[in-house]
Amino acid sequence: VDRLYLGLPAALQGLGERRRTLNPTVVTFLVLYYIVVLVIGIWAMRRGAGEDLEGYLLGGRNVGPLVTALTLQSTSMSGYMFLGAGALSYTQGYWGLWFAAGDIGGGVLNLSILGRRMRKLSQIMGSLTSIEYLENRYPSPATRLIAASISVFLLAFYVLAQFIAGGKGLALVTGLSYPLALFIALAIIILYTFLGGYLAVAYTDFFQSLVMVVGVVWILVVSIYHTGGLTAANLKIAQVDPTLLSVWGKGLGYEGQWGVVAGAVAVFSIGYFGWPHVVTRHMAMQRPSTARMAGAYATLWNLLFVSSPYLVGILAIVILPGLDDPELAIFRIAQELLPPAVTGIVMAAIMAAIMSTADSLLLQTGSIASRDLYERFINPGASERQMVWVSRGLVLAIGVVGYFVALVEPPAVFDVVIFATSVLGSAFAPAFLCAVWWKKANTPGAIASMVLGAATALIWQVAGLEAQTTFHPMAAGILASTVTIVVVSLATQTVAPVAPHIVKAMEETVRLRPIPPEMLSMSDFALHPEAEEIGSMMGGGE
Amino acid sequence: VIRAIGTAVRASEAVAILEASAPVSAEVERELFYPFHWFLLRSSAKTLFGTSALGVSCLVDARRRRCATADPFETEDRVVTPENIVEPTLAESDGLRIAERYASYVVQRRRSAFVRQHLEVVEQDLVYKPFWIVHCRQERSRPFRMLVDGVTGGFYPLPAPCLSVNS
Repeated sequence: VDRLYLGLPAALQGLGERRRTLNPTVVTFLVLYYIVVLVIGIWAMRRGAGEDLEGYLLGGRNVGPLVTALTLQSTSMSGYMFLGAGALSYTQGYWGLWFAAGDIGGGVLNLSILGRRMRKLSQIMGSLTSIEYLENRYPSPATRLIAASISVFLLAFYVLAQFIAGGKGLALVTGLSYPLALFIALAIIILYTFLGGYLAVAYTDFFQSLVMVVGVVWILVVSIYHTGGLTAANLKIAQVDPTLLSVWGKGLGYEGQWGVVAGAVAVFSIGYFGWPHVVTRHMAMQRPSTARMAGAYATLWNLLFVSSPYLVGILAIVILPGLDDPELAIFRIAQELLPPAVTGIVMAAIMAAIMSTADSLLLQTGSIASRDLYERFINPGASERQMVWVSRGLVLAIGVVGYFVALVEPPAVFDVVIFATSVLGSAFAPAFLCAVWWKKANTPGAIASMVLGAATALIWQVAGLEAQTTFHPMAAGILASTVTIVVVSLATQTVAPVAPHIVKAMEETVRLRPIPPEMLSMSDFALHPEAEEIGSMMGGGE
Repeated sequence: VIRAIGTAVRASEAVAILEASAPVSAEVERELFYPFHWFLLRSSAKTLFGTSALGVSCLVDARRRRCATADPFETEDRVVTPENIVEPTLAESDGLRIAERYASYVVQRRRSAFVRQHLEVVEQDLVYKPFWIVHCRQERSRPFRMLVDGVTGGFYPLPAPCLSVNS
């Protein structure tokens, strides 16, 4: 390990220097933070929440919309926000805000264009996972095989970014060497995935989320204050490099390259559409107003949180010029400007977020591998024990390969996240969108779109075609997959028409009846199966 | 006599909920009870901090084979006429298989860990959920029917032809 460490890039070796200047107060409060989180968890579990699944699943119904919203958000914040976003702005200035714009708009777009209709269609077709949903909408074993393989491959990449973020963060916080910190972070994540044990309750997620948002906003406010305000900071950035103030990147590298800009915005807006997700059904026994309020709080939280790391990265250009590793900009600013006790608490919350995201991604990857590939294609009668071991085997393989990649040739967190999101979005976004919006989208069209979209984005990035074509891999991939699904679907309508039950299900998601629109928009879609069944018994529906 | 989930929304409230949502005139046609196989499952697994157990309440649609986790609820014995009941078509044993598979998937996700779970049935029953079928009229448009959840007050359009109030 030591020999490998000697071969590390200077940026990572620089972490060793931080070890010597480590503040014991930071470590004390870091440990205190974890003790508080543990105590909250144990307290909540003893109160009874720990013995009831619903205490976890929809604890928000008992704890109110604010806690529900922050609970959901705490798991969605990954290492990218704390390392990748800051590094991007630190090196490219205001160019990074294109990505932030896409990120902020992504959630809204996802909800308004895809979310509700897709949830309806998933419920009508009885799909439990997004891969199952794709296979139900585009019936063919090939749909599931291709979609699951692409997902497993790319989610593994995304996990790699979390490993690197966890290793770097732990090294900086504890003063351990990067290889050792990486090993510890990875071992904790994998051990947790294998054994579980500490069930996060709503209150712990809420606490972590609150610390994260307060911490990041605090870092931002202190940074603005330290630089004498945004105007003063901009003047100082202009002295370093005036092009960093433009939206075209350092040295105006992307000036007029609208294909690259479109891709940058699309990565986290359209790219989100491609993420595999879960559709499960819960039958509430209370009125659903909490969920609506929680949605509003989550949007507000996003507006507050998403742009902060990018802005801190920009201010770091002035505060910490010449950083060896720009990915550590936010961590280093926290160390420099916050009181040691606050630094310890905020860093602990960030580390917890990184690790919980890695854990969720591994779970997602393992589930797809065991349910959508192993059970479906290799061993249809697989027992739960076999499925668990297939998942664990894959997680272990990702861990071992990830450790060596992160140690020997660690890619930038930003690059890995953009790579995975671009290819996932290119592969799946048109297939998911057309699934609910275009009745003629058929199986050959979807399969060709997934393969060509993923291949285009992949080749574009690996071959470095962005620089030559001034077209972002995401934009190229989305264009390829969209054109493919349209052309192939239209060309194969006669040989592979969309099944009538699918067309009917799609029509159901729009439901044009003599019902007042305001009533329709307030209707509870969870009641669809019962309504359909009762309606058919009364002489309507199916 | 059936075991029904407690009705929290009365007929007059169902009407009021619909009339408050849009300019319609609503009238309750009848109350209908929809069947679910209910299972309270206990999922236990060995974890870092010893054996951990979770209770999972599952409702399996006894007609459409769909499963959902459920909030805790109270039941009451109700005397109802056969025309107000939707008969179950799914056997309880099949319902249990569906509930176990669903619960194991949901719990695994919630535990965030690939742990082997031992599932046992703590309680099970055939329960009926109350619904109101409400006939709605509006100016210059055809009448339509809405299904109102007798527990939550949520509503959804019924895809049934609406010829007269008592059809």
